[in-house]
Amino acid sequence: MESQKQLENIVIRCKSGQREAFEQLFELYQPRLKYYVRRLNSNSETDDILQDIWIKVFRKIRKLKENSSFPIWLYRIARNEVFLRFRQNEKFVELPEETEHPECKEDNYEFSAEDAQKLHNALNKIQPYHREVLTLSFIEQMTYEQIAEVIGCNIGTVRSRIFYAKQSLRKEMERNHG
Amino acid sequence: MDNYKKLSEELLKNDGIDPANISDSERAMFEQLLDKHLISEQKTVLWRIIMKSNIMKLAAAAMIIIACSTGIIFWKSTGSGIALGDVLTRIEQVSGYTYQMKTIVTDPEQRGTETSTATVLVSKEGDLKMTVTQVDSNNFQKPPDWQNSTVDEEWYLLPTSNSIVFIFHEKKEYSRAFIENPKHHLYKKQYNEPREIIKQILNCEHKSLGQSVIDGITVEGFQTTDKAYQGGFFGHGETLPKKKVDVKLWVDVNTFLPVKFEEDIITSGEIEDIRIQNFIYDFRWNVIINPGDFEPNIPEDYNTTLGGDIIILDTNEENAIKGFKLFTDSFDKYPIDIQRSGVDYGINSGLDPNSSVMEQVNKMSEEEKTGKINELLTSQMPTDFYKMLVKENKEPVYYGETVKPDDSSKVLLRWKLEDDQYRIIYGDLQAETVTKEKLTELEAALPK
Repeated sequence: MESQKQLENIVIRCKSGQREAFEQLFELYQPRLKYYVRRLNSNSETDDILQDIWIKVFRKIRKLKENSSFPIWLYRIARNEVFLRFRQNEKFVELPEETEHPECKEDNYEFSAEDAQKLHNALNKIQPYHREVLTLSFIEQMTYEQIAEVIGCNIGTVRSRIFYAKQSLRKEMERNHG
Repeated sequence: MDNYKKLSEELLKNDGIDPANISDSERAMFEQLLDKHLISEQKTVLWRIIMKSNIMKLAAAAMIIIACSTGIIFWKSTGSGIALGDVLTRIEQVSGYTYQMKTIVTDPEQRGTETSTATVLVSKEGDLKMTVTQVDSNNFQKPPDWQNSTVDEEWYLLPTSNSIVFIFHEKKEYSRAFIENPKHHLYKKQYNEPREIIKQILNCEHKSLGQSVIDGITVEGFQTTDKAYQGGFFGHGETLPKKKVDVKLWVDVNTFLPVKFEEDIITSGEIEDIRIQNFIYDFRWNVIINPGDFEPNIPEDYNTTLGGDIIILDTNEENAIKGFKLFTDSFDKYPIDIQRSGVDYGINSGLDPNSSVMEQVNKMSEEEKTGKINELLTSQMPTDFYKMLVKENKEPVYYGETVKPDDSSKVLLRWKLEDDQYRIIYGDLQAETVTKEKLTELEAALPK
C-alpha cells in the first residue's frame, strides 16, 4: 500500500486532471473496493456499482478538502452507492442500533492470515451490517474513528458493532470447522 | 499491521480477486469511463474559468471568437500558482508544436564536449521528429558504443506507426525498428519531449521557483533535484545511477505553456561520470503539421546500420516461447538460468562476452547483422517475460536446468494467474492453464 504522502500526491494530481493519477488510484483501490462492494450486495450488481462509484470519484475529487482522507471519502461513496441501489431494489433493511456492550472497550481477538479461508466463508454468512464493519477493518485496516466516518455513526456504535460482529464471525467459523 | 495486510490479501484471493492485478475487462471499463470524463472535463473547465466573473462574461464571447480563429485558447492564471498537471493538460490540447534543443555531452574523462543543436517537431498524437542542425565536437572523446552526433541526423519516434527510425545523412545510413507494442517504454522516454518531462517531474520531489521574467514573459519556475528523475534520453538516464540531477522548467503564467527547460544530469557507473546537459527553448505552439512531416524519407542509396529492419517484440507468453524455441533449435537445450537467456544465447552462438556486442555485430555482413540482432532480441524474451512475471507478483518458477526439449509432460515454466489457476509452458513448448492440484502433481513428477 502506498505511503500516506504518495497517496496524497496521487490525489493532488487527480485533482489537476492527470489521467495517469486516476489510473494509479484505480490500480490501488479497485481490488479492495470490489471486495467491499461484494460483501454488501450480490455479485451480479457489483460491476455496475463499481462503475457508478468511479464516476462519482471522477466528478467529485476536486471537492475533496483533505487529500489524506481519500480512503474514507471513497468508501463513503461506495457505501452510499450500494445502499442507493438497495433502496431502489427494496432490498435494504435498516440496521438496528446496538447498545455499547460493557466488554467492548478492548477487543483483542485478531484474525490471522491462516484464518483467511474460514473467515472468508464465514463473513458471507453473518449479517450485512456486521460484515461491513469487519470488511473495512480487515481490508482497509481502518481505525474505529475512520469506520465511524464511513458509516456515519459514533465511535461507540462502531466499537460495539465490531465486538458483536467478531462474536458472530467466531461462532460461524466454529460451527463450520469445529 | 503486517499480519492484517497479509490477511487482507488472503481474503481477496479467497474471493477470486487478485490483490495486485486487475482484469482486462475491468481496466477497459475504467479507461472508457475515464475517457468520457476527461473529454467532458476539458470542455467544462474553460467555461468555468471564463464565466467566473461578470466582467469576464463580456470578454468571453470575443475571446472565443479569437480562440476559434487562431486555434489557441487562452487560459487565465488563477493567481495562486500553476499546477504542473494543468500544464500537461494544456499541452495535450495543442495541435502540434516545435522547439529548439541544445545538448552538451561531456565525455567520461572530462576532456571534451560535444554540443549539438536540433529542431524538434511533435504532433498531437505523440509522433516526434528531431533534426540535428549543428554539431560542435570540442575535444570530445566518445565513450564505447557511443555514436557521435552528425549534422542533418533525423530521429523519428512514431508510436502511431509502431516504428522508430534514425537517418544519418552525412554517413548515408539509417536504422529502423518496428515495435510490436505501441505502449512500449521506448516511446514514453521520448527525447526530452515536454509532456514526458512534466510527467517525470510530477513523479519526483519538486518545488516551485516562484515567478520571474524570461524574454519579457512572466513565468513560474519548477525544479527537481530528485535522483529518481529519469532523463528524457531513452536508454541512458534511466538505466544508469545518477550522481546529480538538476532539472528546471519555466511555464508562462498566462498560457500555461512551457517557455524554457534545462536539464543537467551526471550519471555514474559503467560509463564513469558522463554529464548530459539539455536546453529546450523557442517553443512554437499549434504549428501546422504537413502530411509528410512524419514520414521518414530514406534515400535508396542509404545503407542500414543494423543490416535491416529490427523487430522489438512485446513481452508476452508467445514471444517467450519463441525465445525458448530459438534457444533449443540452436543448442538442443534450455537456458540453465532464465535470467541470462539472451546473454547465454549470445555466448553459445560465438559472441565474445568480454567485448561490445554491437562492435562484434557491426563486423558481420549486412545480411548476418539483421539476423543476429533479431536473434539476440528474441533470445532475450524468456528473461524479459520472467522478470515481468516477477514484477507482477505472478510467482514464476523455471525448471530449464532439468527439463529437456520435447519433454511434453514436464513443466518448463509456470506462473500464477489466479488463486487456483496456473499457466504452464511444458518442455515441448505447449502451454496450458491448470488448477493448483494439477500443478502440484506435475511438479512432483519433475526430476530432482
